Amino acid sequence: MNVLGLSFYYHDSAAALVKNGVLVAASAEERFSRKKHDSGFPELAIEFCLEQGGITINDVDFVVFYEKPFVKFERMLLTAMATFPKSAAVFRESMQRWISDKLWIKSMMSKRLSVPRSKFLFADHHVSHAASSFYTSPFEEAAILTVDGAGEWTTSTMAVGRGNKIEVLKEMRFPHSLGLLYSAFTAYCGFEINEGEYKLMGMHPYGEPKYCDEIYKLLDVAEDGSLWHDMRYFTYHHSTNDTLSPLFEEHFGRPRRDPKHQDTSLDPYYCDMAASIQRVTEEILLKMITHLHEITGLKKLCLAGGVALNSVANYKLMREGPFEDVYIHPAPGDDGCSAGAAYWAYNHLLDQPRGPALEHAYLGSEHGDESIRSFLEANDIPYRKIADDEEFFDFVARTLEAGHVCGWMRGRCEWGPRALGSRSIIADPRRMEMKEKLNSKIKFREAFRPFAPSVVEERADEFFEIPEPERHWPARFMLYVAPVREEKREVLPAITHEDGSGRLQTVYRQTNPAYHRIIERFGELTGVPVIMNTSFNLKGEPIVESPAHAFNTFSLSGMDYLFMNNFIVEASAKKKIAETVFHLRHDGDSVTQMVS
Amino acid sequence: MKALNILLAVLVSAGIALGVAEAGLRALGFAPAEVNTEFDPELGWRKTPGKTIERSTGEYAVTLTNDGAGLRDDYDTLAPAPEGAQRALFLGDSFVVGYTVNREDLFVDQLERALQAEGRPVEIMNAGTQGYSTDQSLRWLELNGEAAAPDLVVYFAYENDIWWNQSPTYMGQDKPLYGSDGVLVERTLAAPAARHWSRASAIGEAYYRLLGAPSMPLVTAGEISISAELSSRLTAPPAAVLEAEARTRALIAAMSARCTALGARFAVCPIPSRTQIAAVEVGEGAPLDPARPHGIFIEAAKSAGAAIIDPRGALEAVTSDAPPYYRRDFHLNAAGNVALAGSLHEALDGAGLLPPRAEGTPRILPTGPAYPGARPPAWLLWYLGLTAALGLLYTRTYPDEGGFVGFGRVSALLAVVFGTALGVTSLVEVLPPQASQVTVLGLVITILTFVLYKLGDRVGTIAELLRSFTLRGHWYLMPLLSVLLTVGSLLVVAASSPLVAPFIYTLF
Repeated sequence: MNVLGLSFYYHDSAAALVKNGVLVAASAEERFSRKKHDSGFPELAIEFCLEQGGITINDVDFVVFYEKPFVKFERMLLTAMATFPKSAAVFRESMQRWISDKLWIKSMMSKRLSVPRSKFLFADHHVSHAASSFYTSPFEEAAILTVDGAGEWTTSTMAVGRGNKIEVLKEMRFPHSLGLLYSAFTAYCGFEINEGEYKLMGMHPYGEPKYCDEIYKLLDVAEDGSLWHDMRYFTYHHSTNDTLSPLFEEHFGRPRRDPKHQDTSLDPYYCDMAASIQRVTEEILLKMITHLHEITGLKKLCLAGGVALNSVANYKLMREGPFEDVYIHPAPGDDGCSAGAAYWAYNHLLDQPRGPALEHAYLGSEHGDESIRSFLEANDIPYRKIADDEEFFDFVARTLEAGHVCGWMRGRCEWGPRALGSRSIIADPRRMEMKEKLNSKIKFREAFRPFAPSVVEERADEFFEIPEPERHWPARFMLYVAPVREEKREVLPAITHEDGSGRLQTVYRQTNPAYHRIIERFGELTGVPVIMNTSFNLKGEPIVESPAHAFNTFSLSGMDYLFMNNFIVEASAKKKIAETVFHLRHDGDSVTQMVS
Repeated sequence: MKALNILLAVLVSAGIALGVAEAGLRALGFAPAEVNTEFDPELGWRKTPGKTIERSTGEYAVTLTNDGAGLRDDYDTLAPAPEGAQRALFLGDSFVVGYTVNREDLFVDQLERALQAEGRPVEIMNAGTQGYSTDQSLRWLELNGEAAAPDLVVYFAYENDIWWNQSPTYMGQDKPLYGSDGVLVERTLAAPAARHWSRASAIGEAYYRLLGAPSMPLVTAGEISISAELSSRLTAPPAAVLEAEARTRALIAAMSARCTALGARFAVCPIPSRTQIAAVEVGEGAPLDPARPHGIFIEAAKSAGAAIIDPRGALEAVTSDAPPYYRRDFHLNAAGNVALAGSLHEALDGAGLLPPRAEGTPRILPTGPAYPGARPPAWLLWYLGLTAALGLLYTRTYPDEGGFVGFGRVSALLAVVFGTALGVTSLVEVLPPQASQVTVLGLVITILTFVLYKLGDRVGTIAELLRSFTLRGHWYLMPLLSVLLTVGSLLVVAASSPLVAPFIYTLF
């Protein structure tokens, strides 16, 4: 049985194919369309999934959309009415989108895919999140917590997964939302909503959590972690372009940070605010999972939703929370809902047995040697190839040891927002100057932004405070920020963040042998089986997918080498080629887009 | 506070839905009719002094102003004519009051202008009132004849007067009734119930017209059922119609007697119906004869010793080049009024009922009005205005296309829209009334079919959405949903056309 899951018309549209209970292909549309956070119909991702699955659209038994548009439409109308007449502008803006596009999703999908209407199913947004995490986890039964900005009405769900069924126990509803609270502070600290949240997270180690008490005055937080916002301080429920009311700024005694500063400056006040909202978020999440543990009595936890991208909080939940094991899907945001929707239909609705756990996130497209060679030769790009793998890996490791920054493209693209060694820029983490070099000459981004380490799973505990690393699946997907061991911080200056932490990726020989071997070889040469890993893209660009994308990004940046499979392209070969257009995106969503 | 907001929003959304429905119904001709009459305990109703109303349909747009005396004329009060002048008093119904023409087109005023231009010392008092039958005209003469002091009374009869002459009510409203002997039946007329507030809107008016308005009674003779108003066309009328005809004769006789008492000469002018003018000759034994009512009035006038003015010839003469009646409305149009005025001028003069022309003054025939310069039609102003506004929007939205091309596209699209609208309107006016109704209905069905075709399976989505909201208890959002879905559907249809879509995107 083939079930195609789709998510689109919000941000990060994506497609995922579940074939007989196995997630065989999944990709965000942006990888193909080259539009960052592409929210349009994921035509190219669908095409890829079907091709990867070896089927045609006629072989698909069900197409499942990741949320229920009518219920969300209901929320838009009722919210606009409850805040009328202040909501007049947001009502007008959102209705234009709804009545021209979003209401007709089923018809549009039926027409675009040539699939009869009877094959379409609609999953609840947060159930899609929950399913994405539980059904791909190694747990037979688990408590599930989903937290994001807003789905239809729901902003957070507590659920239980047992076998092939998911039961929702509790939910929190719009406008009270931990995700939207975090986004509000993202805006307050001068970043774009639905874009700059991770910058806020990256900024928090530079501050002290001095304002937690003041933040709590805006909220009523119950013992179960549920929130009740004092809506006098927020405007996202009725404004088109503002999340905060003047009362919010009055409350904190400082205006919001000018967005034009982006992250070029680190005003201590806003760093403290970032640290404070991070602390509050962690405390609320901890309350939620503690309560969830109490009411379920289960030992395993599955996390999902956009808030589960907060890898700092994830690690603390794992260390300080009551659950023995935690699992997070590699795409916990809305893109992952496409996989969740497909799983929900397959397992829960159609009562099919569970498939295997998701051991890796390499579910995207792949380019073989012939594809790479023909690209290089067609564009007259000088290259060389080391046919022997071991010899090639040795060359790569030595290149890194020599202080070169390299583009690395090999195998299937990663599913989710993280580069996990298929489309990565890699460098030597022992060199402090690498951080600045990558930020300023290659990624063209803010100086304070940290870089992630990839470490071989067998030796992860040696460098990071992550005992029994094989138990911690989220680390495979780079979803934990763990402390770098005290004695190793000087060894790994380029990946050690201000607070001594690092967003590590544990690399497994079984799931990515080439990448594992590179790191291992680098360890053999240097004694440090850790390399710097950042996504293979420029700031605002989607992660590269094809050889053309990789070469173009390589040419536009200060990288020294480009490795595509066993092909080696040196910096002297850089040039501009025409067919790799992409859209840089530095702005976030409007407030209307965020809530609709 | 939240409940108040929801209540407010529900009210606003319901208001929007009602507003859209109101505008749509007004466009379909359900605008509430303005009224320029009031209850009169003797006459049933009379024109309200000083009241002005506007009436418009696809065929005409007229202003009806009552003077201080409650006439469509220029008097402050009812008083005898000035010294040396003669007064002609015209009685009758909507044909006389000119319910479908402006005063400059009305035969009463055309005739008066022509007579005065000829130097005749005569003025015409227009005492016609819409809906009056013969009995009400007689009653008006009885009540106001002395004050008006006419030298000549002309009663303009129309076929539907006959039926109502035997009825104590007209479409549910009390009116005076005379017996077969021509004597007023003494009774107290009841004032009509106050017009329901809901009829101030097109929605209320549509409801009233479709469900609440009293329906026109039918008369059956053998296998034929016919509107009571037209029942005198039956060549073998039933007893009730014969009774109405007898009363009509008695009323005309009474009117003649009343004129005699007032010292005024009396004439009867039966206005033929459009059917009568257009009808082919009726064969022997035909169940209906459109000319029969006309004959009844001629016969009654003869019996009453009244002068007879028969405008049939004049109206038939204009039929071939410019029809004297509207296509849909049964009244005379401006051309018909000119013909009637000319017929009256000739007949009254020929019968010696008018004072002579001034010495040396040529005979002046009534003609149509001299308008102070033709105004551009309203649609042209709309067309130019919309072209300017949308053209500007379009060229600002698509600057790459250039101003000339942008304005050209906008004007071309609007030309298609206006051309279609004007073409359909013209077609409807040209076609016979029944055919035009079928045409309009067909057009509406065609448009709806096109919209449904373009919506395709979105119709299923609409049904699912409405069902979802109903099942989830949000029935109160239906007005707002209706508006949004209507706009959304139109957007979908419009956006599916490569010609129209750019304009839709411009507007949104």
